[in-house]
Amino acid sequence: MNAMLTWILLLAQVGPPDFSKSNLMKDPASVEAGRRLFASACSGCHGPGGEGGRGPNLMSGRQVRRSDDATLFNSVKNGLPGTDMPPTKLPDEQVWQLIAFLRALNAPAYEVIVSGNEAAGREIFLGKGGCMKCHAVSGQGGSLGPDLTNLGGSRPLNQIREAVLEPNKRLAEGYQPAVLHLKSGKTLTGVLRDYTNYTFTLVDNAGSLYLLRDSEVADRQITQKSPMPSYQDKLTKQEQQDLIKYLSRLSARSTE
Amino acid sequence: MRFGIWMTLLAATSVAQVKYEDILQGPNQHWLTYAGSYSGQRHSPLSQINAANARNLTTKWVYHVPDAKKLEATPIVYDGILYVTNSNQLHALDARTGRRIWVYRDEQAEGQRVNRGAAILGDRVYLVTTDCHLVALHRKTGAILWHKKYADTKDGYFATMAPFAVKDKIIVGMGGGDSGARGFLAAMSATTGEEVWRLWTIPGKGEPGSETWSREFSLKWGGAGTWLSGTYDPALNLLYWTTGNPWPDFYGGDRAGANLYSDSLIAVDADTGKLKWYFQFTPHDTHDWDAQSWPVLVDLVYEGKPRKLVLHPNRNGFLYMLDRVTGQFLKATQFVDKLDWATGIDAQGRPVLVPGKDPTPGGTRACPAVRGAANWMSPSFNPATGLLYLPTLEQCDIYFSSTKEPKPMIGFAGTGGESIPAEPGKFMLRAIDPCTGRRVWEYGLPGPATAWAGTVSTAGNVVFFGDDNGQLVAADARTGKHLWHFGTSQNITASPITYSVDGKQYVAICSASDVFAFGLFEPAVE
Repeated sequence: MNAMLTWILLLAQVGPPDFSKSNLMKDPASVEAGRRLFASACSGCHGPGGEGGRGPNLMSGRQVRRSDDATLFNSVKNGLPGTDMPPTKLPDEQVWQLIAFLRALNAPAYEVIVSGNEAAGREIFLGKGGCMKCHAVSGQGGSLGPDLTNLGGSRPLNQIREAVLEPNKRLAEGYQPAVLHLKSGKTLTGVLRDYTNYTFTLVDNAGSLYLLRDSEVADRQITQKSPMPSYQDKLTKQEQQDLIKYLSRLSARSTE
Repeated sequence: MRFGIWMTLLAATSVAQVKYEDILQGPNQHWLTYAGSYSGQRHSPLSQINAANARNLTTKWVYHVPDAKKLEATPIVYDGILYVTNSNQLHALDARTGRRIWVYRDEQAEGQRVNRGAAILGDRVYLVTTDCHLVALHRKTGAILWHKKYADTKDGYFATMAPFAVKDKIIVGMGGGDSGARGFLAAMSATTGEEVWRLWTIPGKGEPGSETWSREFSLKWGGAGTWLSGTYDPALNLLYWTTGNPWPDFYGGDRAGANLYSDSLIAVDADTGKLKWYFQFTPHDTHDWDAQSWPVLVDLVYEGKPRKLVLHPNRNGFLYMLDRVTGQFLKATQFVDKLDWATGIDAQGRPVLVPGKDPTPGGTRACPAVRGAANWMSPSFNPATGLLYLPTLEQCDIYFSSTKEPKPMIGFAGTGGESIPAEPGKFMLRAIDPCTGRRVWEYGLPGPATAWAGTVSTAGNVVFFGDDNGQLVAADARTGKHLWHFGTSQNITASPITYSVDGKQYVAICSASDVFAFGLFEPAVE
């Protein structure tokens, strides 16, 4: 049983967040029914866990979360003209079950039960993991990596797990490692928050922000590899789970 | 040389902090508050773009705000970075290129509404979310420093306003008054987000002003929202804030009395939140004429004496002039032709009412329309010309009322105003001498009367404004002569600003879904 399935079954036990007007969407059994329907009707294109394939990734969080229930329902029920997404003959109740599953798949990690020891995870974050060299929480920490203050409140659990264990699978937008050699002779090392053929926005290792034009840059080295190490081999399984537990509890609104 | 200029900017960008004293200086290369300055004049000393060369303006960049449908924000600019908000979003852009530096999205916020802008202080930018959270972000990275909830949607509150930074505090207000939510103004610590003071715009039971409401129910559910930013006089340490209409908006039978402090200008001690004075423009309002056009602070010679004044163009069609030290009423001038609810304003500042203009179940024609002769779209004031540039709407409505028992928080307003198809509204930009009330010039803005566009004035004797057809227009501030225009192909529901980076002046405005920036054409140099 893979980790994703474990998590989904866990969700089925505790119930998805209340995100819909539909009663079906509030029913934990609907999430499980939706999972079974997804496996038989959707996974061929969208991947077994919704990670994408011939069809788009459905677990990346924002795409599904930004769509309202009616839009999702219509997309599943009627298909998307001009794409390979076909209409379905499933009855409405089962379409809602599919949507309940999609919602659960994309729910922020903070809203689901996650195993592990939060306090131990925090110790790893602050110490052994070295996370704060690059990441900040509530203004404390580095700025080379994404701010994590609201990580659990904004990202699904699967993304957090992936970022910790397989950081190179998906490079965070706006955090591309780069070395820029300026015509002045200065060299800047950091991450590119944005770049085009004509402009560069770089945050260096000291946290300073540079807004540059191409006319100022003599040479550039931009890599596709995440500077974040994988914690697959750096931490024990328990430590990984503790760290993920801590990260999943980071929610800006929960600390008010 | 060019590189040297850039490196200066970069060094500054990495360390600079926005100080209260910087905001006190008013707009220069920066634009640090919603209205540009604490005075709310929206007048910039920049003059590189001027009446002689404005015809050479050209687009410098366009930034599309994903998902945006109705941007109402006034951007702020500091040190070459432009900050613009959408509903529960803040985007930081390179002000020279429009390239995004970072974006903050709060996807946990309840609902989607317009948002009118951000505040900046220290190394932080601030915004309010739809569900009344004040959020502090690091201005360079967008990292979240804290979130503070200051009102609850369960009590009918929401937020759309640009927060307002004064000294060490961030001032916030609320929306929801049209569903009864009781208005307040609150000051939060800029450092921690903790609430420092709160002033209710409807008095508590037994407090002065509570006798102006006939039912105790209204003291809890009376409206008087604070959904727009305000202005501030540092010498007097007074905030000037306007309040919204009493609730239910269109039926006053259950709230006999003046209904303080609805439809008022309130002067508030910035340190303590104590009410220093108030002036009510529309006592016992039944036309939804919120006082939300912000107070413009000016120092002028009036009737032979230099005075500290506050100007306020009200939704009810009159431009008011008050002494901002004492709140004393000085003068009111009718600034639209379509006005029939009052014959004038008396010596005490009270309207001389025309009988039969209250809404009725069968409908009553009255002018101005429910949208108001003026509204939250920005006026501006040029000290050199002495003119107030004011977007105005000539329109009447049919007003309906209902005696139905008011129920708060369900959108019940006691019914409302309906436009008259045979009498379409028309926007006019008017340049008004506030001392005499004379309309020195006016600029017609034909269109469907759907714009909510404001103005900015510059020392280059140019006034920029959005029209009713999606155009950003530049006119000569002295004469109203057309200088330049640019079509955005979108409805404009925001107000322009101007700023400077690397010695180059820009003008920027939000359209429905994009931020546009303009500057002077630069011919190629061989």
